[in-house]
Amino acid sequence: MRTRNVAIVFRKELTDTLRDRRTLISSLLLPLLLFPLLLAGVLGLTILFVQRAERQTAPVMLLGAEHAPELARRIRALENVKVLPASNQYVQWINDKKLQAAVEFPPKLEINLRQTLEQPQSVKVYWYEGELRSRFVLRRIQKIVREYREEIVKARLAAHNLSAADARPFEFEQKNVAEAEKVTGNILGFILPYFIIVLCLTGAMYPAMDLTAGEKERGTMETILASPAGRGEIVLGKFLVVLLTSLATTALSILSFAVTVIAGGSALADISKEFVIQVSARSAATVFVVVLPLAVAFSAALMAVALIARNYREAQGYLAPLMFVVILPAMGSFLPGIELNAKLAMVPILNVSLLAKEIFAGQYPWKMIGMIFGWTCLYAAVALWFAARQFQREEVLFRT
Amino acid sequence: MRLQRIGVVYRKELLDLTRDRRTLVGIFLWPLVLFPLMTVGFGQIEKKVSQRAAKREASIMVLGAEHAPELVARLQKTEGLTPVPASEDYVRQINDKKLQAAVEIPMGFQDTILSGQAPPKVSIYFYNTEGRSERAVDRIEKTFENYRAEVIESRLGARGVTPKLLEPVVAKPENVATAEKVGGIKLGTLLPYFIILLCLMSALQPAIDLTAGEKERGTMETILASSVGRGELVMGKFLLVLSFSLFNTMLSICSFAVTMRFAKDYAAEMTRGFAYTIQPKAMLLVFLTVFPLAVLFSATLLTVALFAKSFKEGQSYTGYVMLAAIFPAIISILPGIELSAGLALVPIINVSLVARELFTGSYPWGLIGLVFAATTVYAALSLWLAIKMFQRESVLFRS
Repeated sequence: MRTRNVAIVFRKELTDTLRDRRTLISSLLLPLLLFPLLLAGVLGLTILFVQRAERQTAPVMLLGAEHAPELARRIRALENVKVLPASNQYVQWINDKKLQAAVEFPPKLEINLRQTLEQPQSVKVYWYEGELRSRFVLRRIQKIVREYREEIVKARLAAHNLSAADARPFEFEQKNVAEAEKVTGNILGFILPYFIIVLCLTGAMYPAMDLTAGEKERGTMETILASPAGRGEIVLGKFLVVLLTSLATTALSILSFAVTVIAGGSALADISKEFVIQVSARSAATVFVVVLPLAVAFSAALMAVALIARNYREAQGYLAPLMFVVILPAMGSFLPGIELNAKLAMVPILNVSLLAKEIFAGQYPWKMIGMIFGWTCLYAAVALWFAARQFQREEVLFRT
Repeated sequence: MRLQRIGVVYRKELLDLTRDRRTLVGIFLWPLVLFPLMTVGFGQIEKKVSQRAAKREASIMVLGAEHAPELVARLQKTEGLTPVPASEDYVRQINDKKLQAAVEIPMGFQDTILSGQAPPKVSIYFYNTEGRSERAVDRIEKTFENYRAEVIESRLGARGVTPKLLEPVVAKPENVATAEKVGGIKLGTLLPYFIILLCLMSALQPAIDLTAGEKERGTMETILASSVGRGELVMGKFLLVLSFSLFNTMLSICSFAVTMRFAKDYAAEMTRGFAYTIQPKAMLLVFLTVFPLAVLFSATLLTVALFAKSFKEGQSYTGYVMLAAIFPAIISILPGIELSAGLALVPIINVSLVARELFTGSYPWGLIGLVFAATTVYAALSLWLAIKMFQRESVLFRS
């Protein structure tokens, strides 16, 4: 095998791929533009819709308001809340979304609260579980009752010559001590590994089909085989182009994702001060090293399978089920609390998904990294060997 | 335009497509095998894994344990918490996930509590967003709360006051929406989305095959030379694409319904634990509103794919249609969006939102009619456009 021949095949295929402008647009430009657009659009609209739902005037009904004049007054004073006259139709109205909530006060509530220390009284808030606007109103009403309760408690303690501190012997608070990178890395680690793996696959899919079944369809397979380049050299040249496309697609998509997140970060910073997106160069580089053999395995395997097809369409039919085989283990990063062990380190795709999750969260289990890298390299070598063998077989190359 | 000829074209195309075994595999494999496997299979695994994760022991460290012997004794007895000896590098250990949480008790904690002075503050150090760490904090807080309640009780008891004094009134939320409404809200949001996507995706393959594929195979001229008119040809092809789309969608919904019946755990999660059944009336109406949408998708895809010279090209053209359709479909599942007269005119979003209303058991007849009418108009337009394009030689024989 001569490197020069491999390079010639590589250059030829690369020119071929780059010349096809439609391919470039759909495989590179589109994800680059679409990802940020979709993310920004969906995020922006969600915020808009939720804010609008919050601002919308919510019709509320008070049942037995005469038993709790003070609470009723406070609810009436709420902004964007309209109190409807009481009616026994409230269940129906809540179901029809004409009413967001109904508050039922027990008889003599406020008088009881002032005079006796009987069993805790309960104010019932009827609502529509799962409905967004109903939940907003429920929360506001709960807050009012809570504030009112605090006042009552204060008055009662004072009446018994007790201080507020007597009812709060000690306080406790949560303090996050994880570094900002680890906190956001933990969130990113959920989705990013999945996206990287799926992008690696879809990025390789198109050129893998084009350089094998597409070549057959165009009738140029024979021409290429007749050239002085050996079979192995042709496979390697083609394979390198597929690999390059796969990696380029993945890198560009991640980059566009990062740019979107950073640009949108200022918007997110308003929501939470702690939300600082930070991925260290070290973790990005480590993930890249782990993903590289996986991209090799994908590229080689896709080529080997697509070569069996006689035309582009058939190739698609063969590769589509493969997507499914990859997506399921890639979803491993979504699972909470799976710890990597020697056995899981052997499962292809799942191992990389779980490992990338750890790395994004700032963990570097070097032994595991080595093991998974080794296993993935082994799978990649097998896939590459298989692809090379497929190219040697005439019955595959010239299937009719 | 004669029905009999449309029938001939339809039968020919149907034979063509069903002969290709891969098309058939595509039709049946996704809805019948992969779809249930993916939704339920993954859901089950996730449930199992998170249940196991919830049971795992957490290592915690107590700093200044000597200041609160009683509290520490309680922490040691708490299930799921394993105290480890205190050490300086607890922050490092939490970051490395070796330690799930650390509790710092201030000096003189026990004495302050007994004397009833200003309340001391205990800090709980943890790793935000880390599931195990957050669960450990939950357990610690629960133990603290129990301890605090006891301290309060004994303190008030010493002065002859009942602790009921501190619980005058609570607001108790009580759901009054029917099971159909509550269960339907999550399911009713996702199901329309899937139905719309399925409708679109199932029309994709045959639409490309019957236009660009025909061109690629070089049989377009043959078909045009037959005694069948252009309009009849389009109608025959269109009806086939439409029936594929509808058949596949129906099949997926049926398989989904069957899967839900078997996977009760998963179904309960989807419907927030409410026994939810889709009313036949709702299903029928959903189908009625989805029908013109399927017509719109089939005719549009057919038109766009006709511009392509080859199967491959057809794919990249229809890809844009997919994108244009998916975006409104996503918008319709965002929280807080509600069907209104204005939105009833927006294609795709309107069908998705009206389907959600129907699945949650409400029947806003005026809006249902409006959505149906609007979608029918769009469908008629797209069908007219498809026929128009088939008349143009420049499109048919583009080179």
